[in-house]
Amino acid sequence: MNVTGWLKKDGKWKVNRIIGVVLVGLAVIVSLTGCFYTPYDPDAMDATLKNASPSLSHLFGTDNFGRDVLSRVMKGAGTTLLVGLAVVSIGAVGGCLMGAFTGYFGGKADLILMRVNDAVAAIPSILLALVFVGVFGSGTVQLVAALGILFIPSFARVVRSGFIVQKELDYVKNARLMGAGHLRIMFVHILPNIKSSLLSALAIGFNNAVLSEAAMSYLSLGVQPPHASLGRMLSEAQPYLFRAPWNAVAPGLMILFSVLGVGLLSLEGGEKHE
Amino acid sequence: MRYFLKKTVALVITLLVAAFLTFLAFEVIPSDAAMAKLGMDATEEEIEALREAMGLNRSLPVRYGDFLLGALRGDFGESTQYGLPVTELLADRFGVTIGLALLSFVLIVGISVPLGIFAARTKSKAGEGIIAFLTQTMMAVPPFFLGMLITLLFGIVLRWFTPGAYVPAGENFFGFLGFMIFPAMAVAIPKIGMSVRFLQSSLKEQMQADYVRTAKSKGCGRRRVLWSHVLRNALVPVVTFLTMVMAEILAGSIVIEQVFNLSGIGRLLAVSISGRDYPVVRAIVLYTTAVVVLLNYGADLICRYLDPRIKEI
Amino acid sequence: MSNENGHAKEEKNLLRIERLCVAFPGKDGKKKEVVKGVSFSLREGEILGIAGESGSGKSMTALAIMGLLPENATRDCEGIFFDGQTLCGGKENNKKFRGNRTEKQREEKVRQELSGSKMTMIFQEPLTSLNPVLTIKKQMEEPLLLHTKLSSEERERAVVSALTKAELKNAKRLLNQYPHQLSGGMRQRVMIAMAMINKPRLLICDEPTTALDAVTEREIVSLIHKLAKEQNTAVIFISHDLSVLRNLCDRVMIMKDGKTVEEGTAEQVFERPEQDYTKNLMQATVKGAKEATEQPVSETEVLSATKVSVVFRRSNGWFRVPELKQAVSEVSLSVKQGEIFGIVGESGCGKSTLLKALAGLLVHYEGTIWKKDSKIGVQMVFQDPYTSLNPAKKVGWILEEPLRLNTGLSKEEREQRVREILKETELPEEVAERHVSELSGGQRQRVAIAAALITKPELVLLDEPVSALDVTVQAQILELLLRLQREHNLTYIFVSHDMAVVRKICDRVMVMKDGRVVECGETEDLFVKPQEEYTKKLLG
Repeated sequence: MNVTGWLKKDGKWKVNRIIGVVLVGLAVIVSLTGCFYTPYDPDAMDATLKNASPSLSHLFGTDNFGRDVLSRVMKGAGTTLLVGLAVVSIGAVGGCLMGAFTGYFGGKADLILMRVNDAVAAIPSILLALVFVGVFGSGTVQLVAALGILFIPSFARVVRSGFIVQKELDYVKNARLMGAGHLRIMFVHILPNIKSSLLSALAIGFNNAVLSEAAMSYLSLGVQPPHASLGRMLSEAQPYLFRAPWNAVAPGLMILFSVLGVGLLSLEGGEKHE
Repeated sequence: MRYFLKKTVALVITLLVAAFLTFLAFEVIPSDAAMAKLGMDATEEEIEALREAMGLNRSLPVRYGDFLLGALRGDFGESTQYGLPVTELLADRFGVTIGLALLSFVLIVGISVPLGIFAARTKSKAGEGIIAFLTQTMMAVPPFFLGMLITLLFGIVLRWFTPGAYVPAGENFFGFLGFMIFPAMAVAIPKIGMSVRFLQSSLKEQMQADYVRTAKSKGCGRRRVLWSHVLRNALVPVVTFLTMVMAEILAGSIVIEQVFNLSGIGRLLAVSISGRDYPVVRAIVLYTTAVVVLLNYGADLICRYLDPRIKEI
Repeated sequence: MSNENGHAKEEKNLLRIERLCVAFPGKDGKKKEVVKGVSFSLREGEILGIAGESGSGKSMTALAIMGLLPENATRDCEGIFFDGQTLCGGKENNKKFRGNRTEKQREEKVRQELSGSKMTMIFQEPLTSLNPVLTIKKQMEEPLLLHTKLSSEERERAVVSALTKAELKNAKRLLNQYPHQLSGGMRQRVMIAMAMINKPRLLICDEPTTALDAVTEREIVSLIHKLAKEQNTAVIFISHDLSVLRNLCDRVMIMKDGKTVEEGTAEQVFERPEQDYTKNLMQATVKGAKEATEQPVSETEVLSATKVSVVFRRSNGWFRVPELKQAVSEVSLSVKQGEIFGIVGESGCGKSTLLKALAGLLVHYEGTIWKKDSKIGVQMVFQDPYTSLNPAKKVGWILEEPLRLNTGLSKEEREQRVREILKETELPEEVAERHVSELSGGQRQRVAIAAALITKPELVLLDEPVSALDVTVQAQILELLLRLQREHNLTYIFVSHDMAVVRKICDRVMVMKDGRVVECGETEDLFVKPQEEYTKKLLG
């Protein structure tokens, strides 16, 4: 698949997809650079430069402790996106396994698991994450574990409904007649066929994970200080919203751009498959 | 009737299971209510005595039964942080959260239904692209960031409301609306993006259905096709979807209450988790779950009425 | 040719279509024409059949008349005239008004006035064509509401009488039922009753019997014929099945690739076809007995089944006693090496379930099934090549899979074997590099046959292998199957609902109904002298 073919359709540019590529590219570059290089030490405080407005030396100004906002955004974006990725990975792997087995084999186990799944899915995930963190304490690892587990049901549901449709199709019966085992049928024959719905679930999941991390850290229940994360930064910026709005705008826009970018990319993902 | 009975039995079972899970979750917490109450300096004997007095030494099923009975009577014990009965704490704050949720819901339905119908009917590619971009943007804004922007713009720059000055609906209803509309916007905007997209895709799917062709072959105009055929069919998924949105509004208000300094259930929950005030957390989780489960129950009954194909499940 | 005809008899013409073109946007931005300048006319009360294979543009022509084309389609024509009104274009104003809003609005207004009152249409799939959430009464009333001033009681009476005319019993009880509560045949009757309720001048039927089984098909066709003659309604009947049109139509038009190939009275077209394509189509329509083969059927058994029963249990809920459905009851059969054994019956008679049990795809059955060739197992070819081949994989991968699983062949040897089997099934080698979605229906079925034969099994089960294909393709696939059977001395079990196909290909036939064997014997004996009433009914 060539690049222009992917960005064009019927000779017209797909504007939304191009914006998506640019935004995701920006988010990736900023957070990757943040791992190796930041203009200032993101945690270094400077009492003489509290809440300084944006200037040439501090592009996005400084926060209440005199820390450079740009450096903290670069570092924080890495944390936030990494948490998002980890959460989605746990959810997707767990959900795929659970959804594949329940959807393919069905039966009483499926009924029970799906009832539990429905019950968990009925309760808003952030509420459960809050309870989880309340029980096991707050911190990055607990946050990833809590959100990851909570994301399993939504993936399981997508994979399961895909498997229920696919397993009735004749190619699966054909594969059984050829002598393929159940595991091979599930993961080699069926799984590639639900790729498109899985991909859009991944995009939605990633965005939800990033937004949930931000919300939890904003409530001081996620990433703990002094580590930078975008939600954490927003939480710290709120009391000074009037005096130093740049403190909030920079991390807020960073979240908006990365989530919007992934969202726009996932928009037309399903079209190819028709 | 059978469907109704069945769903009601399922409702009761789900509620009991949810109650048990919430009860269990706080049983496995490493720290102990008695210890939490007395602090770290308490002696073994003191703790043991309090455990006895609080009934913590009895067996699990007995305590679950107690908890259930208490919950039915509206008795969730005492808050360890405030020293007040949990029910009292909750009662004060319930109004705020319910008000916020209802107002947000009205905003969402009122704005996204006409927008969704418009989005489904538009034929221009550019229009579709712009709608897709806007809805994605709405969904991508973190609600609390949105809340901060709204505070900054309407509260600090334009001075349309005073941040933090909540007016109870009972005192001055218009004052209440004038303040609440801003947090409600912060809750609603991301959900509006979601709803418009959902409405657009489900209406479009219905518009391509074979029965639409039949309706046209009978001589129906565009408007009649939309109102008496398409919308009627799209209603079932939309009701289910809106139920889910309502549940998410309740959750979303946890964060928004924090941003706007509203003392509602969500803010109480955040504070209680930080302060390890488990009786309060447990009560809030149970209440919210019950509300969500009841919402789903209502949606199931409505869908059954709307769609004759839903039989016994 | 049709134009001259049309002009001469313009006074009596109910419908006249001149140079109709329909196009869709293609992949590379170019337009893809599916109807290329079709012209014809129709007299009052005349029944016109339009036949053609899939992709011939016959349905699009019908939808264009009704103004029901999909939204991305573009229509261009010199004129569609119906009952003195201009539905579209018209020679003079066509160019001038193209894309003009007011002209479009005028067309839309005329369409709304006429459809449902003077011209109506019924479709292929009656379940999805009826609105699932409205009662039959609500839907039947709509044409009356839109086009007449009848009172509510008068409307109800009209609905009941229309339903009764469509030979539906208990019309009153149907009023408050929903489409999903009716059978396929009843739904199509409701559609017909609804279309005829305002006594239209023109009824367009787009493959109205394709989704129904043979017996119901005949009933529906004769109902349409009866109602049309009673009310002097002109009918355009679209079908891929020439045999349906033969008895029904006054005039027939054959279409191919968006163009009219041949047009004339039914007698002319069927008895003295002029064009090669029409002749091909007639010949491809499978008929006649099986040609005698040199190879005698050996006496070695390859498969035998004794008293096989299959019971499906549908459990609703946790504590309810599961519902039992006897799909197959006590069927015994024995298949000899080198023979083609047919199983026929209407949909739901249990033939496919029996085949699944024989293939080993069902775990729960009673009775015994014995197979000679147990190492590789039986292979199967399914009805719909769109679902029986994995859409996510390339053809080469699909063909190699049985070899990977059952043999120790190396990658090179496997690829060699794939090339051989592609040649045998008359497919070009490049097919191996393609996805299934890039192939035509006939090519897909060839791939499915190749996949079944690549492990060189003795016994192949064929589940309606040609039912989803066009007639000409059908003939080619049947020929391929027969050739492969001769060359490799294969044994087939051939399941079909199509009596003509079974007669053409099978040595012995078993007739099934409601899970039981009705009759079993040598093909010709059974077709010439059927013993049972049910077999006679099936044979028409």
